[in-house]
Amino acid sequence: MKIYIFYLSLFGFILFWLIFFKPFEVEIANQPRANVELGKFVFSIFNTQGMKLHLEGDEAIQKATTMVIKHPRIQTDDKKLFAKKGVYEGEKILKLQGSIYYMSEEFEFFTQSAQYFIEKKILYVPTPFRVVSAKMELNGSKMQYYLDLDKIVAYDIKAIVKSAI
Amino acid sequence: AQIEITSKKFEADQKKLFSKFIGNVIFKKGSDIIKADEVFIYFNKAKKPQKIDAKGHVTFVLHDQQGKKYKGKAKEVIYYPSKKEYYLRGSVEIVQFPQKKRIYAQNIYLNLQQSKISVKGTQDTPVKMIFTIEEK
Repeated sequence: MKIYIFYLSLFGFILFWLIFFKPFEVEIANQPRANVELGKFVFSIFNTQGMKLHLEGDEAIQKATTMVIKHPRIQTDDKKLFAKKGVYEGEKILKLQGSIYYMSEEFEFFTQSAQYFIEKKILYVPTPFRVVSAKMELNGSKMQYYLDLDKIVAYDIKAIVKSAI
Repeated sequence: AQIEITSKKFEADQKKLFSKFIGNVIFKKGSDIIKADEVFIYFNKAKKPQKIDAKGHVTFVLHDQQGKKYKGKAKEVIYYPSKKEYYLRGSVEIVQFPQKKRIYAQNIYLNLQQSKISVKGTQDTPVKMIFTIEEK
């Protein structure tokens, strides 16, 4: 008899638990994982060929796989890229906004927005830009710069070849 | 004088001393104008333009030191800035002002510094020159 009472109360407790505590109802948190806030930072990614990206910034807020950066700077041995703001999206792309300045041995350029495709090392500039080099000054509506090939493709061009004789 | 170029597209390989302008290319140097489908600029080591090659539906208006004007068209125009020399190639037609002398040839060499023009035909397309003689 006691054994029946025990089972009956156990069954009652489980029933009570299921009805009132709803253990299987899982609430998906709509808030992304906790933000991570960084001060002045250096962020480098390496792969088998060496350093893939060397990114610095004055401040950053990381939400899930996105990092919003204040004053991002990308520097390699002879190339530098600065901007006011950057959004780094999970090892694929770095979107840059405001006062973008790029400098290498060959030329420098100025624009307002750009996207850096990290894997392919292509800098895509969808906004008007100005390129200045020893050969010429170039203005255009948009351009792509292939960092590995050191090659520029640009559109709607006006060029001033400075050192003409 | 500086050279000003406008075009639809531009390509340059920074390491190679070579730039390419593509599509509705307009090339201006002082009062001289060249229009073409494509213009290639070759730079020397000092990064100065040493050869400029205009190709495809080329039209031009050029002025020499003596104020003569050469207006015309060709398939290709090659320009050497340091010597102010032009090599005009392929179905070349030039009208020289003010005399309005017309020249048709396959190859024309034009030196704007020395105001010199030399014309060369080919086996099957001889040079043709038309100019007016004032009879008194």
